Amino acid sequence: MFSLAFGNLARERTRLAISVGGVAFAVTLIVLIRGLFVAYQSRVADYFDGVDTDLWVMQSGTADFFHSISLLPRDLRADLEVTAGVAETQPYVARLVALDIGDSDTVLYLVGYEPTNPVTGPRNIAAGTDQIGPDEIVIDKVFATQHGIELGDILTLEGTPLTVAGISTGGDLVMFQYAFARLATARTILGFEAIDNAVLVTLETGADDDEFVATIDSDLLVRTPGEVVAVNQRVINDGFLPVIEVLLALGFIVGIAVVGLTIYSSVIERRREYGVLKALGARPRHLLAVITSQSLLAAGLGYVLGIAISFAARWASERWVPQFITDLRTSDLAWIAVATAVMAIAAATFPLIRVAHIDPAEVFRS
Amino acid sequence: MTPVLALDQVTRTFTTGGKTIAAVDHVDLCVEPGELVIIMGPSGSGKTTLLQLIGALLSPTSGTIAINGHRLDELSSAELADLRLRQIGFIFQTFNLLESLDATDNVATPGTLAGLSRRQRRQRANELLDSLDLSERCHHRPDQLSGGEKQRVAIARALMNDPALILADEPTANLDSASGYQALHLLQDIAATTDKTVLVVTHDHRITDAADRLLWLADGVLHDRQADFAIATDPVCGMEIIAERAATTRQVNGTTVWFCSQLCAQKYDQNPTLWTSTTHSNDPPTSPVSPTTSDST
Repeated sequence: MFSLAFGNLARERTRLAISVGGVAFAVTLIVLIRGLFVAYQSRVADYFDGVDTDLWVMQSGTADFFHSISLLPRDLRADLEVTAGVAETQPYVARLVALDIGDSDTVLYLVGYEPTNPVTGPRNIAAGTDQIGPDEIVIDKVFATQHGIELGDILTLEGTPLTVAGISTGGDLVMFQYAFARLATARTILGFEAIDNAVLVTLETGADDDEFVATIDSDLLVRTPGEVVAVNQRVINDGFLPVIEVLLALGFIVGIAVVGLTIYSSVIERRREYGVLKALGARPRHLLAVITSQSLLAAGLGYVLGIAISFAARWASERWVPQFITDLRTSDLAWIAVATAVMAIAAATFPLIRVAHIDPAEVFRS
Repeated sequence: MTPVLALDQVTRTFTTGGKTIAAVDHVDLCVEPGELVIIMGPSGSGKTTLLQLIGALLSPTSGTIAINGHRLDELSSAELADLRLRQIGFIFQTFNLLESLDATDNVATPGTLAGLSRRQRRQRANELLDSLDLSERCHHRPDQLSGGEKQRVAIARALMNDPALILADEPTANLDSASGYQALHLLQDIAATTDKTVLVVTHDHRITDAADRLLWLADGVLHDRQADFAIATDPVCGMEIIAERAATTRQVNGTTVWFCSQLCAQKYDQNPTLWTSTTHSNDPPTSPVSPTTSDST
């Protein structure tokens, strides 16, 4: 039966091309959308994952760092530093800041750090250095590429000119990118002379998180790094997941429709042949095998083509549209393969119903 | 000996527009192994319905059909499919080969359905194609074969699962004379050498000589042609007709000419010379029943 399925597909090349193209389109859509979503989540997590601390202390009621801003008095850090079990503290000072580049307005998420202890500094330096001076700045590679900025160029933030001394990676949040200035410089630009957004607390070995939380002011919010990552990822989930799910469903439906229609039209065209098979003694399982094999073959080829197109699109976007980020994970490609198989089986349903209604007695009519 | 095919008072009726018509009417038939039976009859006589009934593709309204001792009315649809697969070989007027498969795979298809291994079915298919002088054409698809070759592939396919009964529906209708004779002689040879029963339904009077038994189906009723009827051939359309049921007749130089319809008679009247010079000879009646000569105009 497989040879008949393969033969039917090979013989109907235009129909096969439409079928494979449709699945490839659907798979590409699904892979890229999923890749985009994963990349968004990953980028949000990347920075916070890299901050080496045990606890984040923030203003009570803070949701995430992008929708609400935590404001703490700067002297709170000194109080926390002398709390039992605390080994070290670091201030976290950051906020979105607007700037003009040429004719366009844009924003950067400016974070302050100390080059001598760069806990909150850039993750990876792609060019230049993270050992910057007070009038220097590190910007993300995506931002640099988008705006054609190179090392040595000057950016003016809130009237403060800063020379680009480093270009980092891992600080792209798609809608905006991270930039890093020395802590004092950042405080001046952001107007946070007497404010910290959060205090990063490193506990002594053996110290207990809960004991620390019980000791400090109950109005403060304390989160572990994992919770900080989760709450910030939730921004992406809440904002994009419903849209992503709709687009994934559309891709899935497009795939089913294209494969289903092409296989269905093939069945209609080969109605007599299916009648002959039934007359010869084919059982429903034989016909199921022929039609499902056709559908799975077309979908399999479409999947391979779709994955190839997705990787090509990713390669191209990295070069020419860097803000279009996609993470293609093996686990995602695996479930998309399963989804494609489900798509193929679903697409075979209507043709199978059609075949089931073919009367084999028809074959005796010329 | 159990007959390969036994029909007992088989009737199949269809109701259209509130009117019930018996396409097959109380047919009795018993066919022994190795017998080649040809059933002839004009269009609309019920040949196709009879084939569908015998091929287990249609249920009779009344009566019973048994193939190799298996009563069809006692079998489930799955068992009927299995019976068609293993006990019956089908040969169709339009060959009905699977266009995307080559000759070998077409022949092997019933073997695939029967669960033979790939090696077994290809070996069997190649043996059959070889025996039908098609070994050179085994990798050709149907659109690369002549009509005669397609029909031989169809015959090989019918033999694939070594069935007891071969049903052939107008096997020569789409073939030229030479290919038609070759196909029929193959069927004759198969019946004689393999003891298979071959039942051919046709209106091609050229092939009647090959039959061990020749039957005539008219209005759903099966008759022994030699005993029951005077058969004549309409000189215009070439259709064989029961002389006594001719739509009309003409007397030409003292000889009666029978017509299937008034239309054929009118065509004949316009230029009798044209039709008498064609290859359609007006067969003389072969039965004791004398054709009437009324209705002459």
